Amino acid sequence: MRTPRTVLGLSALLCLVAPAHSGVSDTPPPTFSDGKAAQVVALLPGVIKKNQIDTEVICTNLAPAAVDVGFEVFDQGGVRGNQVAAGNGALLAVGPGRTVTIATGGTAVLHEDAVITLEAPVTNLANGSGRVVATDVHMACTALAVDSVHTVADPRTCPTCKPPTLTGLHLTYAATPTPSGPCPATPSPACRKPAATGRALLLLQDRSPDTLDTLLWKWSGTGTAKADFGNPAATASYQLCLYDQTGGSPTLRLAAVAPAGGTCGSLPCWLASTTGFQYADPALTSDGLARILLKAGPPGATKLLVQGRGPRLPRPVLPLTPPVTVQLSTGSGACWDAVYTKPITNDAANFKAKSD
Amino acid sequence: MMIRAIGRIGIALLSTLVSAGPAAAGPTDTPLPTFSDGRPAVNVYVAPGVIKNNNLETDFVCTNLDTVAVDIGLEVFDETGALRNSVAAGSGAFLNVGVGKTVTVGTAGTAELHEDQTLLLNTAGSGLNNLRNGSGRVIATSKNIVCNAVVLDKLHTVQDPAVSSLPPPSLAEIQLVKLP
Repeated sequence: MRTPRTVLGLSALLCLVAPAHSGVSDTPPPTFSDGKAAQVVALLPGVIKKNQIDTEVICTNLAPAAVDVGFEVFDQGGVRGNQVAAGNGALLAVGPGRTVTIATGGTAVLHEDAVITLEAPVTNLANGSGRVVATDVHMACTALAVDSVHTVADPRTCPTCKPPTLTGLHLTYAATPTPSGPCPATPSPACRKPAATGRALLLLQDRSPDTLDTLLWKWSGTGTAKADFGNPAATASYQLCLYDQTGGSPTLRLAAVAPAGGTCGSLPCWLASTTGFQYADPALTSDGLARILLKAGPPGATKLLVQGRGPRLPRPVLPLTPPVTVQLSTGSGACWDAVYTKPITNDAANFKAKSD
Repeated sequence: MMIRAIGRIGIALLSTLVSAGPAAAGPTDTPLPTFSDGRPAVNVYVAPGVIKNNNLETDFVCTNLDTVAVDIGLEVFDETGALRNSVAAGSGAFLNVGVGKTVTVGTAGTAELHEDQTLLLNTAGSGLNNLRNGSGRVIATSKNIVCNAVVLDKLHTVQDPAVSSLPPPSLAEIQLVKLP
């Protein structure tokens, strides 16, 4: 009589036990030894460490700050072969723009910054998988499988020396590895609004050649003091962000930045007036932005203007999917926006609308 | 007096260094150049894994898909993120590449492939005449270009095995990231 109960108990216990994590997609991302949590940047099928072939990933930090980077490898059974958390296959505080190389073994022909030591029970990768993890997903990587023992010798002096076998491996990114931008992924919820319907104009023109592309945004609305603009002549950069509803949710389609300070030609890019600031860059060096006006005033008299043109102007593929939201913001968090639900024109070459 | 003056200059220099913003580095943070014909560049591709080391070099092959001639350039960055060539000065730059035309720029000449141009590295960053391993970006006056990149052994060529026992070169594609 007791045996069935025991079987039932064991069965219930087995049902309650969660399956073991395994492989590149199922294993939780690690935490680096400095306590920072990792995110998955890219997956790499075909990680090989066998018969004198090793695998290297070469990654460049596209983020504006230092990041931790790691390369985790898994054998053919999905068992992880190294602990990034313990520093095995990890490089900490990789500066912006820097490039690092992490490999499953040292090679004669390539340079490596870090080499993974396989941990028991994993003894080889024949063939396995891997993933690049980092504290910021704004990374771009290349992967190579390379013969670890040969070098490239001059065939005139060593005609029998064979160069190394080398092949590229395709990485699958968790997200498109774009540079981290100045705009948030979705519109900020608390920006100042136009004074009334139709008081903010948006005009985009996509022409060929690209030198004829234009952007114009004019806004008149909520009262703003000059102090609210910060000091763009010294510290407050400005960014214009445009979102539409591509895919059914707010999607960033354009980001253009006018950095604080700087010299445009022979003059300061930003000039202060009694009521605000003006940005002028005839060379269109920063994202094609030519002119920005920030004029403080009481409700209805605050005026903003952003003009850009030319090939450096980031341009979304037209037409846009309304409602379209445009936000002008500063690094301090102050922002002004307008929403466009019913465009006057919205085709492959032009978008024109007045605000809701 | 002299010592005080030197001290003041030192403090001033130090405060200048401390107050300066972080130096631009790498393929996304470095300001885009203007081509020597005065036309501004846009960033088209980021290339992680540009290698110039141990007789390996990296070649970029780009085709103009636009309806007008475009300028195309390659900028390379070493492992520290330092820009190692000047497109504005013509290094790695092709002006007025015609519609449908293809150009090739390499970090050096190779025996196997054809290069229209090769780069001369400056002494920034590591200061060494190598990229171990670096990055790059393809820039142009239009986004309407397509490119591939390969890393290859610069010394070997493909010989007919019936008449030669020399081995063929190493060659591998590197994965470019096209920017939106």
